[in-house]
Amino acid sequence: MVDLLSVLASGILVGTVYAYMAYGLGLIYGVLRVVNLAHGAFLTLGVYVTWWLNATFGMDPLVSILITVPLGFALGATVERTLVFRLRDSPPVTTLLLLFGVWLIVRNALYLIFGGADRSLLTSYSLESLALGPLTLSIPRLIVSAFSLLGFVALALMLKRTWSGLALRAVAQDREAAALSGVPVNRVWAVAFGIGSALAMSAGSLMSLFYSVTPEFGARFLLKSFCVVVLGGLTNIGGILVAGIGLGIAEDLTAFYIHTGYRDVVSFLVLTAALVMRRADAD
Amino acid sequence: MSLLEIHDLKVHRGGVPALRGVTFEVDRREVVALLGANGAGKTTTLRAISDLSRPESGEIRFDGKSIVGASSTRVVEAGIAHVPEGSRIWPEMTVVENLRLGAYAVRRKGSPIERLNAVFELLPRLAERAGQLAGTLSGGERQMAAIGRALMASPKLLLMDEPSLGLSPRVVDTVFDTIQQIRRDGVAVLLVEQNVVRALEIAERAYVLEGGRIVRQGSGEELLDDPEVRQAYLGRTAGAGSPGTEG
Repeated sequence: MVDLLSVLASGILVGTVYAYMAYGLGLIYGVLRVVNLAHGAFLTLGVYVTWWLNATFGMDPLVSILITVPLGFALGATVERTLVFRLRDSPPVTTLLLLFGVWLIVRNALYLIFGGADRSLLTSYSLESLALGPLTLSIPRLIVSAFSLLGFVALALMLKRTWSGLALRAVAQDREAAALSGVPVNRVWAVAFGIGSALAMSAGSLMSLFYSVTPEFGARFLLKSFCVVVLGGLTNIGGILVAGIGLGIAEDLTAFYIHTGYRDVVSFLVLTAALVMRRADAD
Repeated sequence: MSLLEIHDLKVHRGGVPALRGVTFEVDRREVVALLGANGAGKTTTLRAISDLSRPESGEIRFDGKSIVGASSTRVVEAGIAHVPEGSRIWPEMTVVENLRLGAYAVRRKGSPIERLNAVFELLPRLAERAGQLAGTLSGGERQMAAIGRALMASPKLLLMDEPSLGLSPRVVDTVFDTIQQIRRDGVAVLLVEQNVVRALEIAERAYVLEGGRIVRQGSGEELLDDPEVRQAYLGRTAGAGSPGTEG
């Protein structure tokens, strides 16, 4: 019983990070109708930047969020302005391939700079845990989960309360009607890509607390992001949170009761099942 | 100088000419109807004004300034709001969010709350539905929300594309009453309507488009009495049976 509770708790904590990590992918798809295959690149870049800041200046990963958020926004908005925007009238597969190319470039640049070795960082609280009755919760997981939830609240408030948030939602729901209300659609696209990338890079900062990183890091988590976004409903903020937590729990249950080696199979299975069911719905 | 002056406007859609040199104008505080069969170029004209379609050539002047090539954002800022065909409200936003975002172009000018109250006064139904998701509204309410959203931009000219399409007769009455009230409030209206009789009854002037050209123009009354217009758009030569022509 205690085992089960521990597994559930740990799954929930990791799941909130999954949701936070995936949300940028959903946001970019919702506003631009573009599947950001470079999402994994931004995640990986986030971990490396955080690792490098820690290794060089001893910066705490949570502090480095103050850097990865604006950096991610700037990089994402630049990729949209200079690359994605030029292909706005082409078939979706063109943009898909373009962003895949961006990912390959980032990945190989990381190999060039950092090599292929596993990089991980250690903080004073990395190995701490909190005893809560019979449960033992890892402190980094608690912190990361709290930050993810905070990020979600901030994002929800932004989408609900600010002019930029309303404009983002309007462009996602009906781009032409947004233009007719004076919303500068081109700028909103760049902002959406910027926010999505900022979310991905700062998710990398959070994930650096309990994952080691190689340039291949992004592939695994791009897949998990797809899984969460497809399951949760592309731009549905609450749905994505629930889906992220669901995936986290399913993975931890699998790892504990079946085998740790099957952890990453879960997202494949869930993604496949979700797509087949969506397809069945559409029919 | 008229509020809106369009001169020799030519627009292609999908490589095919949709407007072949259209010239007309709208004065301040005037309702002008743009009539014609499907594909005559009515919607294309409105889209060209709002920069949703780029003209091949021609001039569009608003308030004396050329707005050809100005972005949709600039066009709204200049004072032209557009109620598109089929209302096109944002279904997953509340009614009040739809209205608030209508003021995006003028968000740094004046008081959005005052404008919101003015819209609620003109369209009280929207006040009742304020917190509801716009996707749950009836067809008539959606149209009202779309009109309210456009008015939030404090326009001098309102472009309306088929505002009565698909609505029940009673709701159509409300829409036309609203258009007249908008005019009384000092806003000019360029109205595209398939309900030719109702449009001509409230319009000061009207233009008839055919194959991308203006083939007829005159006051609302003149066109209402024009036998050819009656033939082409009313399908009968006398007013018998058409309630709109009795008054």
